[in-house]
Amino acid sequence: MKSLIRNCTHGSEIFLLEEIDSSGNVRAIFKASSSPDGGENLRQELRGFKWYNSRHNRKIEVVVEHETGHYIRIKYEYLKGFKSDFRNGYWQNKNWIVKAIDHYCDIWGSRTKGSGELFPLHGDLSLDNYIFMDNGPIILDWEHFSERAAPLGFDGLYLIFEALWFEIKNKTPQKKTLSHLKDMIALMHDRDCLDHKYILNPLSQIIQFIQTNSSLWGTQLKNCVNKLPILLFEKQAIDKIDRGIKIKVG
Amino acid sequence: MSPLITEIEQILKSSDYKKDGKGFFMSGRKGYWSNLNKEENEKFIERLEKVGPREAVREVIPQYENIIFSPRREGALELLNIQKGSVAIDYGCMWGALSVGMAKREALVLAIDQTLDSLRFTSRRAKFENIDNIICVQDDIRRVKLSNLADYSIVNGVLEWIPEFGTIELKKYYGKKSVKDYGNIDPENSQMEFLKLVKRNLKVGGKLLLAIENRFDYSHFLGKPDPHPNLLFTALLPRFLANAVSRFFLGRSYVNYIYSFPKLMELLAKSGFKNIDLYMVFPDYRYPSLILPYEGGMDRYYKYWEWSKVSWKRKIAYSIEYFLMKYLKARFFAPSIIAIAEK
Repeated sequence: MKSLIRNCTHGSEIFLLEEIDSSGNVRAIFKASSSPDGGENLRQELRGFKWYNSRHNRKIEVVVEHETGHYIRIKYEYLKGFKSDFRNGYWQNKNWIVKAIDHYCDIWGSRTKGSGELFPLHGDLSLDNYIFMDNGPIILDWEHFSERAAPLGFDGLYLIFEALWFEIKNKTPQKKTLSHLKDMIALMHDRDCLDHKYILNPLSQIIQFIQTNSSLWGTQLKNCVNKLPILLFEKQAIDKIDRGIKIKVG
Repeated sequence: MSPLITEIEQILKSSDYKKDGKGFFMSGRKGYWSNLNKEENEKFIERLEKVGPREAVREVIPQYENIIFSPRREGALELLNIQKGSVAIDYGCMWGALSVGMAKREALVLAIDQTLDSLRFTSRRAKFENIDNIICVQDDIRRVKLSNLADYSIVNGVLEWIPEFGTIELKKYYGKKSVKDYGNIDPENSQMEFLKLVKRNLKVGGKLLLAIENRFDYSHFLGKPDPHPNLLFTALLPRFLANAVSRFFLGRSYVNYIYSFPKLMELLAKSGFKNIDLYMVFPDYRYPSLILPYEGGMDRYYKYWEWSKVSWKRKIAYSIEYFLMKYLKARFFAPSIIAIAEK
């Protein structure tokens, strides 16, 4: 039997279903859409998984089950693993963030071939879109994938700052959190996975990128202001955070 | 025109439906059931002939834009695994939200409704969205005889209205006094007869998707009115008491029966359906956020709403729902029911 577990949430127009066997175990995941925007997001997701599979040893099984001019349904293998609760914020999730950023660097790192200064964009790289399996993390939800779209490091920074948002909202971050966050950015830099422009003021830089390239997120950003929570940071908080995480580069 | 459409049109013609100049198959049986009054519908259709469907809705009946166009309406169709080239009947299709959804999934859809104005809208919307696999049929859904024709049947928010008769302009009828004599009608029996007809019209192995409110929806205990007569607590009362209350306040019998999970299962089984799967639907079947199997699905329940987006009344109701479902696993009190059953 199938369960509908998400129905067009966060401004998307996509149905998310699980197929459950008689013992209550999930056997497969399905995503479907009958709207032009939702269909386009799912086609982007297919391209995203194709790219991800090309850069990763663990190939994720993704099959288009039904596609017409008006409708698309995709079946995904079910990945059993741990999902951290991104709403717990940065510090509680710090160990998962280290794993997530490490995996990000494996995928996007120096081997990545982009076009000029633009690199593949996940577009929603949240801790919520990671499954931590015994043999390493897996990134899910490639609905906003674009092949050559963002400066290197954008998605990794997004993940870090989203976790920070859920910890502090617009309050002042703790020193230990900022120090850890700084280490993560330094790690991205050391792993050749950070555009130089992001060394200074990374938070304001990625927010600016989203605002000037909002079309990459289609209508979803318009339909749901909470889609990318880092956009909820206020100017004062952004400045304070950016000032607190200046990293030294050799 | 595809061979399947030609074949189905031929079957309709041989079943005494007459195709009119605009492509509607007419039964000759008049009827009217709509959320809109007749004069509103007239104005709406007039506008529809001049502008696109969405514009007409926005201009004349903006309060129904979501109920007509929201993709969320189609969530339940994902339970059916619809195949290309299949035939579906949408009983009481109204403005065609699910007919269009089925057609987009490549089923050939017979959108059946007694209200011609609703079909006019459905047909126009289909044309605007380049959908050519919907056939609009005007008929009383209780009298549709198309034996062994359909692979899928949709009965969405319709079963509870089956015992009603005559013109229904919902705005004038919902919760309003309107003296009516139903004779000796047995609502449950008339609903069962309708389900038997739906079953006859399905092919062997064909599937029914039925959606209806749960009689024991937890919010009925919190003072949410019975969704059809708009009376407090009538859904929960024994039928004879509900009948007395309805006669007193509305001047008519209580006929819009809704059911509990076990009772709906029994009704479907008595109507001849097999392999019946029931699902709990949250927060209601029109805009489902969660559809979970009644058997074994309770563990999948989670907080599906956003606090910032709901009123304080809803916050209280959702908190109660969360406690009931998450901690007490009280599936019997889920708000709505979807049944998938096989002929």
